[in-house]
Amino acid sequence: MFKKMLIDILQAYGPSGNEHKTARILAEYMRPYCDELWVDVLGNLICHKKGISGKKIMLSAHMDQIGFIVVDIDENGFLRIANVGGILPPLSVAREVVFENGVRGVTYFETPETRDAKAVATVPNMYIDIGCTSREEAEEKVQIGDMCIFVSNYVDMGKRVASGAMDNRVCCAIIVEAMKEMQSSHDVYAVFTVQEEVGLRGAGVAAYAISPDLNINLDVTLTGDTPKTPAMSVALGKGPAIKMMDSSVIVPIAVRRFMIDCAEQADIPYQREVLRAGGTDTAAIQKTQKGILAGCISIPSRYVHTPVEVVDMDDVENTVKLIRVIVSKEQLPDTI
Amino acid sequence: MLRRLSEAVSVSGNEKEIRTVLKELVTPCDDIWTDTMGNLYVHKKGMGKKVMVCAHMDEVGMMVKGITEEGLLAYSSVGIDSRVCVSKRVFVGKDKIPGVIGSKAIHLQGRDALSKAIPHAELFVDIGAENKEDAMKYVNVGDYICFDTAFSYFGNGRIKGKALDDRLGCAVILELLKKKYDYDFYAVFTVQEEVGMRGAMAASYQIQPEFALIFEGTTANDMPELEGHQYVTKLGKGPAISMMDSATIVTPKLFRKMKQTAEENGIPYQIRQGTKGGTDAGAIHKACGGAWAIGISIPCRYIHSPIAVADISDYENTIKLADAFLTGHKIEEVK
Amino acid sequence: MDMLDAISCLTAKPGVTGAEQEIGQLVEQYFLTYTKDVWKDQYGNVYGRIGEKTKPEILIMAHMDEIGLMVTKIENNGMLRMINVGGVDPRVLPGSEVVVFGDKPLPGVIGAVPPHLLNKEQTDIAYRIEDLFCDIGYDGPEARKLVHVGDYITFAPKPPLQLKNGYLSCKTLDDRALIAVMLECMEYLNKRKLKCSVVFCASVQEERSGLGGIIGAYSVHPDMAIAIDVCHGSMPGVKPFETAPMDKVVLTKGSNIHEKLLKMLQDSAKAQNIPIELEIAMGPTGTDAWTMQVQRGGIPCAIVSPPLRYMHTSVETIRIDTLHACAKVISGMIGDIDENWEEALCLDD
Repeated sequence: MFKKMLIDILQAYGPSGNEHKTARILAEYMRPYCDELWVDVLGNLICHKKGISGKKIMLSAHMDQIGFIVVDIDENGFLRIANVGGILPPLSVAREVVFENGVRGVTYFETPETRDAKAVATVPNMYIDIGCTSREEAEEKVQIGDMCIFVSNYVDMGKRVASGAMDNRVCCAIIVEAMKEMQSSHDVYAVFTVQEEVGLRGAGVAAYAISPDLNINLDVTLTGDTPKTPAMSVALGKGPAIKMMDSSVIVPIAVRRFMIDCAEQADIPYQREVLRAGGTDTAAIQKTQKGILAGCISIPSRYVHTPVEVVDMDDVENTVKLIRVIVSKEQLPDTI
Repeated sequence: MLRRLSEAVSVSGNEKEIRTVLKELVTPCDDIWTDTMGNLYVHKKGMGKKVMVCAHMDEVGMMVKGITEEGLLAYSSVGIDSRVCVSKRVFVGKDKIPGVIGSKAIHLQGRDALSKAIPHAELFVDIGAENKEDAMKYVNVGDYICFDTAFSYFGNGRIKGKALDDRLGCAVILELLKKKYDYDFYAVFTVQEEVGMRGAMAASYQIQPEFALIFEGTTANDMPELEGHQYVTKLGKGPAISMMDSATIVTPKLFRKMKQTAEENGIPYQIRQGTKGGTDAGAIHKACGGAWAIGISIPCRYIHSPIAVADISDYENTIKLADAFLTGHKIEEVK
Repeated sequence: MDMLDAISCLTAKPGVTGAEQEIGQLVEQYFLTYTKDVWKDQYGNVYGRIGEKTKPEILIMAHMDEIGLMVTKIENNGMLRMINVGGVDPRVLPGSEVVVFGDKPLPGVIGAVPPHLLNKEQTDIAYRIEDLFCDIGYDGPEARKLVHVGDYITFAPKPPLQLKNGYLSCKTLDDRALIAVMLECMEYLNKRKLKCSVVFCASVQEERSGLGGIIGAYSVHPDMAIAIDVCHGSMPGVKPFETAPMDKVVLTKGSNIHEKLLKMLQDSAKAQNIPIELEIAMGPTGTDAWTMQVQRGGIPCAIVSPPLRYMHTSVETIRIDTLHACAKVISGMIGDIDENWEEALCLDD
């Protein structure tokens, strides 16, 4: 059941700034579990479940994904592109991509020397081939300003699964699942934010409108459990990673402790995360208005920003449990 | 009018002169005021939606950082390539003391040096002072330095001058203010865009518009060495509609509506085919609860240098496009 | 107020960015000796108001957080891997004594692979933070009981060292010395009859995101704001015009500094015969003034700084007379504010 929904959400089209299709799918899943939902001017999907305590909890996860935008179409019908979000060029060539209207293409890069094994792709030297032979033919399928995303398979490896857009649709699915059997006396706002990948742009606007007492953001994080990788304590399968700090944000000590207490009381495995490089919506939310208390739970994920992002289903299940415990608490942290 | 706007000396943080010029040129409206940062607001009351049109009035420039014993001025700058500063005339301070930015004569340079760019730290402004003490009679540490470039028409419908980014945008707004739209209409000339959209952050909080149109002089790289996908915009091909830059992604519906407006009205347009660079739209669209925002840019070659080049038809068509969009109630259709 | 005494107490407390509770409590105690009107916000900014709440209101901000380190991993032999919190130069760390804030404060030493195991090329390369570790004298299992990923590490506090000519050296003078300056301002202002309200704020998280400046300026919504923070003192080997003499009060001029507020500070210095130096910053200033300026509908901001040498090390050095002079410039300006303040701030067109 969960896997079916996860696949559905993973495969939705939604590069930064073009999240409306993803929002529509999430809205359908959320509708039964909330009292009202709406989309704001930037495209954030906000789902509200009423409570009685007078306090507001905001759960958030960004729903946008990385991709490319077409900046030019040359006379032979090749598309020149710019990145939308943190693309890793060497890992992004020879990939299949798809546009919102279903047009498919493949990525490659300029190779002036024959069989140059050392040639390195960069965004400016990359292009997309959509099988057209002229500008006119290509323009009938794709226009300048259109965005595409990587096509990715859902690879079911049992306990662990791989797919593109795991960052951050797996967290969107987790929020939907958590809302299903949610017990909370608080007003719960589940917010699926836009434009995180291009600079945390949607979350602050949503937080401004909601002005919650506490925000728990969900996003993926890196792991240190693959061959020769920078030292990091987070590993797949050891439970939700409770964020201490990353390069954008420091989680308030009281919020960390609150999340850890919730996990320990409910016997949910967890790990502590310090991420050397990378940011998340939590940073933008903290800086809103008079300062909103915000923390973050991360799903450990390997190979982030590629079409084969791997997560562990036990971590997913434990995160769902942890969120349910968190929102069920009467007493929320109110200072650092 | 374009001459007065272009030649006004107003580096980021010191927008007094351009503000004065704009106040003189602006069509009388319901209300006009300056906020504490120096943003200039013009309000035309109306019943409809709250619409904000915006252009920044500051320009890139420099500031005196220190004075050497010889009486030369060391400077600090933001966003200027040091390679364009060499061998230029400048104004220093309120009294517009003339100066030049010099460099060692070619004869005094080694062969290796000729292949290297001269960094700002090795460039100085010479105002003809005998020594430090003498220099301090005319200038002070902290004085603004601005390029001295005359505005003129040349070639076939082209204009050249400094600060076309974004005085052309200011000129567009002056034209729009002569017309009447069914909106609660705010025109804002912002400060400190070149140092990070500072003015627009404050202005968007004050106005909290539902919809914003941003006019900008944007980069045109239509140069022989480059390929089509590096041009960003081309001179003479019409106003450039923004799709994405480093600070904003335009809502697809709004982007399509702007293109459609141009097509319906037979106005030539192009798309701003690059994703680098940011404008005030970046600050405005995510202020408070968010706003619809889109930029329309006038292509300019050699921006952020002492002299830029633009095509007058692009400027005129920018006014037409904005006018058609506002008159045609396209904002309502986007929602 | 004895400034040396205040600095000794303030620099002794830990308060790495994001963990400012302990230093916050001390600042709160200090503030309470000058005013009853003291409060905190939920991120830990500490505020104290002098004068009745009225217009104009001036916000004076010095940050109380310090740079430091955080544990990222506990190795099997009990050594701790770290990441910097704020701008730490990894080259100054090896051989430093630190305190690890685990379940209780634990003394530690920063180590690295010794140079005689490395070849010449390797020793020429500076240490990266990833190459260093913190040794707390425990093996893996014990270390894991006491310390967790996410725990903070600071330089071990030592009392300030008094050098010649009123020079003072200590860790965290950036920006605790300026908290002491705020206290001196409060003392001065309590003696004067004010026509304005002054909120002093010891802010959090300046060394990273500027969060304290953002929410502080947003919630106080002052009519003007002054960040007080250190700047670089002159020393050999730095570029000309990038540093200031140690005995001068430095005021910043730049695109995002309000020129009229700057003028008010200049006037105050002039009236008291205090020599000042202008520092030029066209772009970001790296202080709370940068974030405060664009809160709400825009807030006039300025910066007052004493020069400091060896910033972000355990031997930051400052001149105590310059600190007194900073307090005088600020209090003088505030004391002179009258009903014409709006005019004084108005940009002349």
